[in-house]
Amino acid sequence: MSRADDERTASAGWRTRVKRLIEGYDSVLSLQHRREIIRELQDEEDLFMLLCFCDMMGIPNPVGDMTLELYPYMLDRFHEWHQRQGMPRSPLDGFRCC
Amino acid sequence: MAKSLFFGGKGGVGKTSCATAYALSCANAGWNTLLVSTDPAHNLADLFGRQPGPTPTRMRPGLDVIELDPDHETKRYLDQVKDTIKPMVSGERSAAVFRQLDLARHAPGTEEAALFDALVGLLLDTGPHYDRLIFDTAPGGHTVRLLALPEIMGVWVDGLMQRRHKVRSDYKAWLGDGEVVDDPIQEALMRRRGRLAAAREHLTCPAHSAMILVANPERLPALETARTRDLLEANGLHVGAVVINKCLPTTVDSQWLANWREEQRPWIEQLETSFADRTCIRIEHQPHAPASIDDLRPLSDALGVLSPWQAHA
Repeated sequence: MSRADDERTASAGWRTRVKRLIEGYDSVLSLQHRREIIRELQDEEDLFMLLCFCDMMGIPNPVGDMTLELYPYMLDRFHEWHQRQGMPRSPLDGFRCC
Repeated sequence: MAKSLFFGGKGGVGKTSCATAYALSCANAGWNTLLVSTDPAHNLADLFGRQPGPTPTRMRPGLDVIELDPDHETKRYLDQVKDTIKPMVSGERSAAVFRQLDLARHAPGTEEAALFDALVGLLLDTGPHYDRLIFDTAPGGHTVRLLALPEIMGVWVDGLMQRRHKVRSDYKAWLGDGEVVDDPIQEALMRRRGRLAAAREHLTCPAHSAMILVANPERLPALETARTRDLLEANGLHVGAVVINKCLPTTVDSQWLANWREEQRPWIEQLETSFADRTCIRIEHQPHAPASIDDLRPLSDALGVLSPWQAHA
């Protein structure tokens, strides 16, 4: 191999390392961002759980009975939630999402 | 626009009798009147000699009557929900959802929501054909709170539908299909929100809508009635009067009845004190349950003076 080839290979290797470094930095940044998003979604889930089951917690929910059309959405979200919490089946006898 | 009057109070105090008597005096005064009864045990068929139904039936000149059967209305309400949902869920999903809805039939809030839905329909769709709408019931606790905080419905619906929006729009983007698909569930909810807002306008306007609380001169009704008034007024509903029904007359037959009349006295006073800033009407206990229109005359005479709506300022 010529000296020129050596130099080309060396600089290609350097570029790859820099590229990998940038990608790695990027994924670190996006992981932080993703963590925030995940935390936000979990807050949203907490709010959702509160709204769904506030009756059981003694907080009146006057709206639930007037929005029964939302049942399919409630079933979906509750199902996703209990699975995320590590419960393979619905923990509520009265609420059969699965 | 029709003026509406709601007779509220616990079961058995005489809401239907009072509402019917008042509706009769409205009709006699020349107002085109609709009486709405939700009492499953009413004897309006006996009073009028004709069975009322779910659509207005002319009973007297100027007086139509509608009967809302709570079970019927609950079933109708849930069937409507099922029809809206059906195109949105498939097979296994729909079995789970429908099962859940059938369970909801017996949940305590469902009947109240169904009756309120029917009431909204009467106010907005049927009401414009009449001068007076008289109800033998008043909106329940859940409904009253919702009337005060309509934003709750927005938070609830938007919160639950958000995720679905995201999923749908992603799916559509993947398909490369830019068309907006009508979501019948969203449409149904928006329509209901609109109608609730319109009903709320009417119900919280003291020039168009008022509540009359009917009580008996006993401990529990007296205390409950004061609480009910506070709840209604805290949520924007105008309470025009209290009717103290079944007061034992001064000419009673025996010492035994005279004793009970004496027991009633402090509760009559208590009610009249709590409602000192409102009209109080005492109605004597009648010799028997009303079996004819004539039997209601003493009630019509006592109540006919009521005009609880506030004139525009």
